Amino acid sequence: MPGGLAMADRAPDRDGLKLDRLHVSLGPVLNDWPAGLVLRVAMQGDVLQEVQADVYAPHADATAFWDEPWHRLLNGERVSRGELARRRAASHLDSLGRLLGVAGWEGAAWSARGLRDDLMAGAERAVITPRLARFARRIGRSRLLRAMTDGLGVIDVGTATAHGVTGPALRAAASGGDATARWQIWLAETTEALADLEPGEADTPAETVEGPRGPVDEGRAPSEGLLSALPSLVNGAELAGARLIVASLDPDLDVLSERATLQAAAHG
Amino acid sequence: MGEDIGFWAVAGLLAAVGGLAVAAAMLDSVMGAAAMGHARPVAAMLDPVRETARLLVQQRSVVPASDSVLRLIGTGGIVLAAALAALVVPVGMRPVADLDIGVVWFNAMEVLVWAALWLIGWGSNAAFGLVGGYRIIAQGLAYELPHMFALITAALGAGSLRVGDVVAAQSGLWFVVWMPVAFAVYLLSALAMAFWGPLGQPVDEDLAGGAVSELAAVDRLVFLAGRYALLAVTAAFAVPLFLGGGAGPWLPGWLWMLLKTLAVLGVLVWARWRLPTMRMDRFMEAAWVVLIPAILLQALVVGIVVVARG
Repeated sequence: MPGGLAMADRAPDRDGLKLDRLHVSLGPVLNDWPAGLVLRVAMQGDVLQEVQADVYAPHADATAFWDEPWHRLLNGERVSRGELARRRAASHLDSLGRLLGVAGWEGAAWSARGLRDDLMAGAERAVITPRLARFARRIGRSRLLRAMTDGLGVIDVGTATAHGVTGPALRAAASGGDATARWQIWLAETTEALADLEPGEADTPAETVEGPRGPVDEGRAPSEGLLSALPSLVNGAELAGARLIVASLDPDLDVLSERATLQAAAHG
Repeated sequence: MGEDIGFWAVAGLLAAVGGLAVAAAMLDSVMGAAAMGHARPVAAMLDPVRETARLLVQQRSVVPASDSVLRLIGTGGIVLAAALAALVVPVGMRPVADLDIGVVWFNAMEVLVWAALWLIGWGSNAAFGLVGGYRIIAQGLAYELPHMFALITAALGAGSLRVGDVVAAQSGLWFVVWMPVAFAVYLLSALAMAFWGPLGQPVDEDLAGGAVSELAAVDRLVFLAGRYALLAVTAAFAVPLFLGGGAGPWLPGWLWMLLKTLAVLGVLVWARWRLPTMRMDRFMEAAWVVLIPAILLQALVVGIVVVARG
């Protein structure tokens, strides 16, 4: 054992060869990665196999930052439509920033993060709208980005229902369900949300309980569905593709209670 | 070869490469600061200096059972390859070493870089390092053939593999004008050769730095220096190949060479902030189905022109 470390063992690979296999953990900390998510995988080359998803939930009673206004709404508080729209747009931009970071497009990732921060700091609609339009044009028109995310991690409507996937990922299932469809939904919903920042509508109390990642009033958090679908999606993917799939789902691990800390496995 | 290579010529050349490498690092910092929305992006110009100081005092981190000899060969190899490639880049009209196979020499140094980067990744004894190291091999498989044909097309136009002759052959018309495809392919492969920006997958952030994820302190500094030097040299080599070398009105040849190099370098650095990373499992197909036929057609056109001219 060189250096006191075990050598890689060998196992059959997807092409019927016998290749070295290494057991690796992805996470819980990686850049642009859902903090706390651990994927335990067996890697052959850069192909992921036997993927297991674990979650290190930070603490049991953590309040999910991105869902927080909707929880206040559920508790009977008055929350303005403008506040919800702002939080939803910022949350999607946060997700987009991570996806673009993983896609290696640092320029666009920083645009997304900048827009997110300015929205959270209370920037006005008139200021944000043109900047967001520029950003949306830039990434929406990028054929290279689409070429890199097309066909990755497809969740069709059937799979979505089976895993209890809700929110944007479910809506994306109707239009292909791949990583491209998911980031395009984020982009579209961010643009839509800006319309609700209008001062006239700012004080109208909101009634919807659909948070950035799905309905928050149901028994299980929306991210549980995403996490449940995750292992089978990244199983058999190459490392670079798997990173993009995780980023395109972007489960919010803050919302998972201890009860939900789950272990999902897929074998392939 | 045969001719003497002067000490001062080599020293001057290395100083120029070093200067251009620093300029590239500074430009990258400024563009990055602008992308991050800093109020005064120009202030980021000194970031590479700060980073250098930080890396000099940082403690070396070593993974258990990693191979320090391979790390030294790898990081040093990248600097060495950049310096050796620079020998055939003309400053003005003639290179420091005007080899009769200068174009092939440049190509060979590039493959040395693959080996160096792969050794760093392999020697680091870490999963991400290893995956990153293999990515440069996959990337090489995708871009090397188009790249080679782009170099050969320019050599074909000049009827010589000597870089000085390639420059001389452009006294009438720059090659970029009648070999635009070859020039575009060269720019793309320049990104790949320095594993930079859209073709930086081997050292990409999705692997926390890929092949070089475990490099710290002086090792990382040497690697970064080599990589920016490589970027500068590949940018500089586009000038004698396609942009007429030091040719231009009023100004001396070396100054034209410098200005054109900075322009190409600017485009390469800008591409990093403007484009996402290309994954090789997707790019491979485009490289073989689109780029190779396109560059072969370009070579054919150039070949016909050369024959027709007699």
